[in-house]
Amino acid sequence: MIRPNVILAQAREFLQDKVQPYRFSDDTLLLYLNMGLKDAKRIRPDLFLAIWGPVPNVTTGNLTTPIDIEEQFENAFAMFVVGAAELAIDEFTQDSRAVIMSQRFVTMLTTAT
Amino acid sequence: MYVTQPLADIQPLIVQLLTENNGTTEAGVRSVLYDAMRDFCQRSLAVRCDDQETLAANTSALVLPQDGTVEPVKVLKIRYADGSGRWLVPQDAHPYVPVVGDPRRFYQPAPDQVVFDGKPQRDIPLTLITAVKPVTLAAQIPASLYNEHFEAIIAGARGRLWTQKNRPYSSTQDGNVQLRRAIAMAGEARVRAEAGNTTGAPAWQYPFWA
Repeated sequence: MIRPNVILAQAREFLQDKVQPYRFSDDTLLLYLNMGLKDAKRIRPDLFLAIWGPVPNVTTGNLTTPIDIEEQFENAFAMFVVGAAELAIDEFTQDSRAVIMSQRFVTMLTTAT
Repeated sequence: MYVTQPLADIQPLIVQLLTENNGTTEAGVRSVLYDAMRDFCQRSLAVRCDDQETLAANTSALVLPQDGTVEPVKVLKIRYADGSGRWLVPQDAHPYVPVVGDPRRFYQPAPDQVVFDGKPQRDIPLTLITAVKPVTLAAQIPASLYNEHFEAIIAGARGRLWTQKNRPYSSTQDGNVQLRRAIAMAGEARVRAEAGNTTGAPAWQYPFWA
């Protein structure tokens, strides 16, 4: 199962945003994670077979509750959160990384490597 | 009630498919595996078991059970289990209005229903030799399906996985090859099963009235 708190920790590692006060609040990163979950359902609906129904909505209240999606896809969601966070930063050097991270999310869901 | 038969766990099949195909999910593999097994059983009629039923007096129809592991595909033969050993003759059309007396023919309007051409005046125990298929997502499957038709099931599951679009394991051409293999193996299994899984002895016998 994927763990939202672990995904956020991985994303903070990539964003180098580990020291409080955070540049990206938990609420902001969770917003991106929820966007990623909806995108994942569009690209790979079979990931949600075990929890078929509305896409889970992660909040700070259920951050530690695992979601029944196989853990091999945990890194993909971390990539999505990082990509979405970097898209929000209006700095040129971040844009290409943001695109790479967003594409990495799709690649990890749809190709073998 | 189906005669108790050995059962097998499908976990080895799931593990094989998960390890062969990057990016699959266990729920997805389980779903295609059950589709492949049920399709194989319907095409081949090779997984069979005895079903002991009683035709109640003054009735001419039976509804076959689903026992949580298997469900009926087709009743192949029916024999009286009262010691007479008489066989009933299958019909491919609805017989007609049943007459009073022991039935001699049967017809299946649906996989789980049997209609007879006679209404007995006593309860008659019957043995139905029934082709079955696994119930969707049952915890276990008949051991004969796992032991004897492993390759056919794996080929069918692979074919269904590989023909999915936009997946890490998608490969439409290879998937179609696997599906054709699975169908061919189901055909071979059907021929073997109809020959009674023997190599030389006749697999038929004269009807009881001959």
